[in-house]
Amino acid sequence: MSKLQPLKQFMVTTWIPIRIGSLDLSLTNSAAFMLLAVALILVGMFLGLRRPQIIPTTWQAIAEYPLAAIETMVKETNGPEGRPFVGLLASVFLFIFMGNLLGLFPFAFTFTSQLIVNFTLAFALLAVMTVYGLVQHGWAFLRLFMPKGIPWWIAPILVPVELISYLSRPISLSIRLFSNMVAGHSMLKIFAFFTGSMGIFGGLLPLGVNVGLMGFELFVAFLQAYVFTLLTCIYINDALHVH
Amino acid sequence: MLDKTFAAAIAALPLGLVGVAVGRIFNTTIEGISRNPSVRDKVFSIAMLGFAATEAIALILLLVVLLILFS
Repeated sequence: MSKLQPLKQFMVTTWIPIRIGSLDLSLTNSAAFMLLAVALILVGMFLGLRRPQIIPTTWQAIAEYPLAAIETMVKETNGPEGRPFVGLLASVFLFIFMGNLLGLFPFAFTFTSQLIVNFTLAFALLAVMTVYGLVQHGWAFLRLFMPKGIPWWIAPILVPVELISYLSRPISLSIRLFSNMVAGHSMLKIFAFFTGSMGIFGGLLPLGVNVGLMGFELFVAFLQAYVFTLLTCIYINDALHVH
Repeated sequence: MLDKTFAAAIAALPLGLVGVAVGRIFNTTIEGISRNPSVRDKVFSIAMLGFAATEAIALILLLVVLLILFS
């Protein structure tokens, strides 16, 4: 009888070992699924936007829809100065959404369930925001941590709190995505184990729960990508217009 | 008696408050939509943002419980 090991699906295994000197650049299952996600996005966009027409064809409308939605979201939160960020945010949204979706297929690996992947994304976005804010506003960017019009005696308490809250943004973004994916896929695995181990008629109830849970995981896949992108938009608004 | 399992059980208690919070988000969303049905799209996306943020707290708590139990 096989054992219930819900966390074994998140193990990163090496498919093609590649060593250059002392660097380990192997192709792992995580890297392979990242490449697959990017390839699928590129193929979809290329097929849709190869010969764009004023009245869009079906595939062009499908490819344009997420880009238009993200441009609306950026314009609503940031105003017209946020326009340079639309490409970056569309890439982030499509990458995370495709990663979450690919993990729902059987025997697939969810690369967004790796905390380091999410943290790299979130930290890179934080670095972009901070550098952009510093370059554009200069030292006035630090007004983010000490807004005008507060009494001077609050400053020694407020500034460290604001600083910690600013630095914890990538942590909260990445942990939110990571824990949603890990919890969802672990539950799928646990109910699948019950389906297999309770006989033919006893396994119908966990199967039903799993079907519902798969639908919920589809919703969570989209929602987590959307929330990641929306929160990044709001943080970029902080960097563009310092309060 | 005061071992890891007990600590994990106590750590899981605040999930009740998180459940109340998620319920309140949708309560006010539905009430707002029922008073003014034309704001449905704008309000719904903000409600989804609030739901995901609150759910994040619940899942971080789950992470804490798993850390207590398994390390």
